[in-house]
Amino acid sequence: MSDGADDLELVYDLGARAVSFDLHEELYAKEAVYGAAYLFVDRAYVFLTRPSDGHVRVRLRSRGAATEDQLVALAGEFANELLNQMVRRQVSEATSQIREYTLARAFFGNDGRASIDALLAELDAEDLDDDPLEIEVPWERSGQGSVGG
Amino acid sequence: MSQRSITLRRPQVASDELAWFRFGRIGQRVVITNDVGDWELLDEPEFEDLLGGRIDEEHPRHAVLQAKGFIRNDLDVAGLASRLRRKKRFLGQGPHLGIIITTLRCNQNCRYCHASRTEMDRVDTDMSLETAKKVVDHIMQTPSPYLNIEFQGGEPTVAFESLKFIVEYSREKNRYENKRLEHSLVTNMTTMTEEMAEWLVRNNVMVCTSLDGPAEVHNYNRTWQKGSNAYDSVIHWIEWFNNRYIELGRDPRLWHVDALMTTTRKTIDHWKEVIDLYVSLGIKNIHLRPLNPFGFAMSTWKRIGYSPEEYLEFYTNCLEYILELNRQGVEISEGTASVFLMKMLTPDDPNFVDIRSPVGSGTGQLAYMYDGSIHASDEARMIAAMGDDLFDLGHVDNTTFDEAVNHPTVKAIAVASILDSLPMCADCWNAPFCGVRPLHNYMLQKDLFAQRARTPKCAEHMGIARFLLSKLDGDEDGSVERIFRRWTISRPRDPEEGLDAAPPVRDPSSVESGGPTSGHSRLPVLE
Amino acid sequence: MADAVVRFDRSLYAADAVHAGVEAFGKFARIALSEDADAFVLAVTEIDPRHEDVLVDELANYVLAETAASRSGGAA
Repeated sequence: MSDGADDLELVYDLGARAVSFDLHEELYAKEAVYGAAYLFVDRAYVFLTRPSDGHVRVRLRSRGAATEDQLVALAGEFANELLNQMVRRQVSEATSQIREYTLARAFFGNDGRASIDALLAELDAEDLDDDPLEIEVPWERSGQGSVGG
Repeated sequence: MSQRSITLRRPQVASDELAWFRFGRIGQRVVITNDVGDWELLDEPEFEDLLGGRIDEEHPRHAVLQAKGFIRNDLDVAGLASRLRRKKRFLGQGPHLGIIITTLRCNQNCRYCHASRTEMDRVDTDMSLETAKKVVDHIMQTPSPYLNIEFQGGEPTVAFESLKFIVEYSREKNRYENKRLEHSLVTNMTTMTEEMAEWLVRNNVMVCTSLDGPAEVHNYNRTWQKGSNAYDSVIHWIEWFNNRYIELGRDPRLWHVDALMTTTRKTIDHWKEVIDLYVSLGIKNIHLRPLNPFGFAMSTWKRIGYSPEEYLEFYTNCLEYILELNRQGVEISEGTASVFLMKMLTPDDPNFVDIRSPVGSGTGQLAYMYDGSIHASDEARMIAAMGDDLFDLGHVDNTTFDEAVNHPTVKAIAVASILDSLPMCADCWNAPFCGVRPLHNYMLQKDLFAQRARTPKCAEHMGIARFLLSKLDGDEDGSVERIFRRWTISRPRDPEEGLDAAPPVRDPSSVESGGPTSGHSRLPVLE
Repeated sequence: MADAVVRFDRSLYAADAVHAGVEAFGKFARIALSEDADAFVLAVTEIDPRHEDVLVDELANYVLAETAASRSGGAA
């Protein structure tokens, strides 16, 4: 595909009150399976088995009676979460060094103490009385952003 | 048994182009967040463009994503680090909230009482002045430059002499401690007298009361003695205090009674009347709070409780209505939303001890019982009152301040509430705004860590954050953002406004305490 | 629900999680833990009648959640 995405065909069994996926660990890392499963324990009964080497079978059983449509929806939600978990892992692996460096610089940098003092001084200097509509916050004045954080 | 299949579209991830972020979905939109609380909502194709490294300078979202640090090109690491320091500056400052339970006696018998009150004749549950002095000496060792001493009960006005002594002694001591020192009182108002009220006003003790709604709801939730009307009492005193501040020339935006409401099943049916009542009384902030799993609420849950879903429906109904009132020019905000919004819209964290990472127990607050025992938080003392001493940190007679805040229990609570290290939370887009409650988890699942997917707090906080971001996302004319930004303003009061020279400090042995009352939980603490 | 035997595959479930599950649910049923080469095997009998419809499923969920918490969390 031109944007580099690829399609994965995920087959599942639809039973009376349950859906089951057979997942190959080469495609679906076990940590991603755990991550997705963890998010579903409040919605379904989740059980893992090993149908064969390198495969994990995930069974999701509804907590009460469920229609076929509801089970299909449950399967879809689980599949989407599995994909999310895989992408999360990729993003995390690709960016963890940047994050660690940022955290280290924030909390262990030589300039840490001085910067906090400077920030506190900046906060003390802020005067909300100049803002009759009370919509301005210091952050905007320092040009660091708008809505969205 | 039949077989079906799903086609998953796995996006390309351009490892070299990304900065660190978390993501999730709100409806059809993808929300991305980072450690400093920056966030953005993207369409699915935009998100794929981000993952695939296709946000070049021509891309319509380039400017915003680059400025917020979501893409690696020209990433301002120093700027992010500086903003992160500001966001987390409460770390290492020590407790800024000292809760003092001057008595457990209370004249009310609230259906949800979290504080495990005692009967009015139990004077043995009053704090002695000797203990009060030791408590003040203890809490004022906090390295925090700001300290709020908050009186809880029982009903603290029942032991008013202890309260007065603590205010006067701490203020005297602060002449050399030089902290920004404030005092606040959580009271049910039912034993308030004009003499007490005048003293509180003159001494800048901020008053916070419980107002659960119209008379029918308030009096149902907060049972008082036969023939009395708790609602009439609380309304009378709210108006008295607010009028008195104005008479003395104080700015009513800074000096007024705060009110908290606790939601029971009965409140849920009367949500609109509750808000209308607050507005009619001129109260500028309503703090909607669910029941907590402590004290009497544990045994009355079946009658007054509700599911997290029911609470969220109630909460969003209220918030929609509060927003509508704001559009009509009514000035009223909601407390929990304000905490989240401050994290979402400003460079600061409100340092609200219940919604931060790590939670404030022991690191942001300490609670002192009437007998001088030290607890990690007001919830910890509530658990202690239920017979479980797991969160006790010692006693003012034999535990130094350093020993209390460095107690292994405090460390355990911190470890259990640092979101970056918790399964599910570590990956959750809501992590920069959220906070977990290990003591809730302990009460519900006997486990500080708990299983996140099953905690009511997770459902509540996710629902609130989703609602707020959805409102901001659909805010084409910026009107919602203007309202929300108003809710994040925290105007500092001058804690010494109108005070005379340092008050005399009385000899603890010369005063006796006495009087009637109810207890409840905490004010939002905006640093 | 009648008595049940649940097999937790060793390669998928953590031993600590299984033990935690036995402890957490032990007050609602008699739970005997044994092990073979591939699995932790729980024999669940004398289930509290108030919870017999869900106990085994809830126990399995609990063990899975505890396992997942120990193996997937704390991403940097």
